[in-house]
Amino acid sequence: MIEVLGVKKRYRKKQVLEDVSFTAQKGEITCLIGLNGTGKSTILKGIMGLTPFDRGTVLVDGEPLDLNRVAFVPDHSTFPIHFTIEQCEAFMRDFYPKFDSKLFARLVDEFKLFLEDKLNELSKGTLAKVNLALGIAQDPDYLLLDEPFSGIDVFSKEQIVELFSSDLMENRGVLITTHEIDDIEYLVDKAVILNRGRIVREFDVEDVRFIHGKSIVDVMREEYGA
Amino acid sequence: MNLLKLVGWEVERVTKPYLILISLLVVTQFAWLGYFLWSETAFYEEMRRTGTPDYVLTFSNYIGGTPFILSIGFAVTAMLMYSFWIWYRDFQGRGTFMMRLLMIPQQRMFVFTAKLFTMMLMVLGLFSIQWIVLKIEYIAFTNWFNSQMMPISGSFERAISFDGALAIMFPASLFNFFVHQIVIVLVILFIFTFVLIERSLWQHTIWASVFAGLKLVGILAVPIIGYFFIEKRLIYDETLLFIGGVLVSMFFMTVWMIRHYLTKKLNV
Repeated sequence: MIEVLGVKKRYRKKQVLEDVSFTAQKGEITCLIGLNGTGKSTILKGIMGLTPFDRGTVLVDGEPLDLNRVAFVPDHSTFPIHFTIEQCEAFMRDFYPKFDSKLFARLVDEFKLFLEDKLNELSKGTLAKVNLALGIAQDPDYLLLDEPFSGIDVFSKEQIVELFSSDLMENRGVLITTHEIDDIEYLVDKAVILNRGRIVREFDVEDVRFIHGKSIVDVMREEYGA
Repeated sequence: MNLLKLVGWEVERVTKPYLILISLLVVTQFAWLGYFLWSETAFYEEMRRTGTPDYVLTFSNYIGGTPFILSIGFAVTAMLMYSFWIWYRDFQGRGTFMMRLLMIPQQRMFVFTAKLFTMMLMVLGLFSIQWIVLKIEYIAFTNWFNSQMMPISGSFERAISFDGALAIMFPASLFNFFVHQIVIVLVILFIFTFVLIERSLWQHTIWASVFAGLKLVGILAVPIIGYFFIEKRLIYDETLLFIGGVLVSMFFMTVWMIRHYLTKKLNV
């Protein structure tokens, strides 16, 4: 379980996160939802220690963060843009001890990627698939995904959504931020709604759906008064 | 081992620009040498025709020439700039490579160590190549003027020791060489510290670089001011000890700061 406990973050004069606490369970998909600028990406980067929180704690199964067990997939590439997919894989193989080349090859095959393609020649959808493949091939216990559907076409989206319900995601905890909630509504186990840096609601999606007959967007509407 | 792989990775990334820099340095110096030999010979011939030439050439005349000084200055400036760039290039663009480096399951200090090793390899590489080039230039210099029967004086070592930049690069003793290397490491560490403080604070304040600069100036100012107060009370050995102590403390202080900012504060 990833535990985010009482985290705070300020960017210059703006308090981006104010006492945020929530958990993301292993084997479940937890979705962080909120309008633009509510601090969703900041939380993911903070968990990874890329933008350290000003206050608060992050625990992974009761221990401090272990980068062998948690992988972060941002909505952009983290490699120099002139790199080919093959070079990215070589880097991951060299520096990430748990990186599984066979798993990566399988994902490359499923996503119909070409290893010799350079990152700066790829469409946003293909780049998202490359990022995801590199993330999953790290074989992490927890996968943090930042806007994996942002600006990508419907077919790429379908492929990525299919992946969430495949055996590749079994026993992994997924913490995802997205605006395209409709696409993964039925895959998400738990939703956490953020507004102005605070958690305004944390709920079990199935409960809300079956007991109250509401979708995630309905709950969001209630919270945002839209 | 990840550290060695990271060093290899950093070295690979800098190889092309480094080779260009070294080529520029060598080409500039040899072009200047060619021009120097030609012009000095012509000048000497002219003097010989008009009367008795009464001046003697030394190797210092060549290494004191503007193109030679500029070539060294350019290489040193490029190295200093690269000490900043070796970090900043990893923060460039939205797809920051620094993010990938910091997510490697290893100690973050490996990233710093790899960059420091790379810089030192570049510095020592430059020194070695410059040494070889200087030796070749000296051989060309002496052979050419001897063949022209023009008078030359002074040894290679003497010429080097009289040149400011070259005396730092190639001091007369091994002890001095180590001291100079420590000072070079310190300069690089100060630059690294500046970058890491700035990159840690940029999300908090627009004055991040000013703050980083002030912090480092403060660290430098304390021993310098202290030295002026106690200067007259120290004998030579004590002064040496004081300077040594300051260098060692600065080394540990900058490494501590780098560790602190890199592992706890850096914002990507």
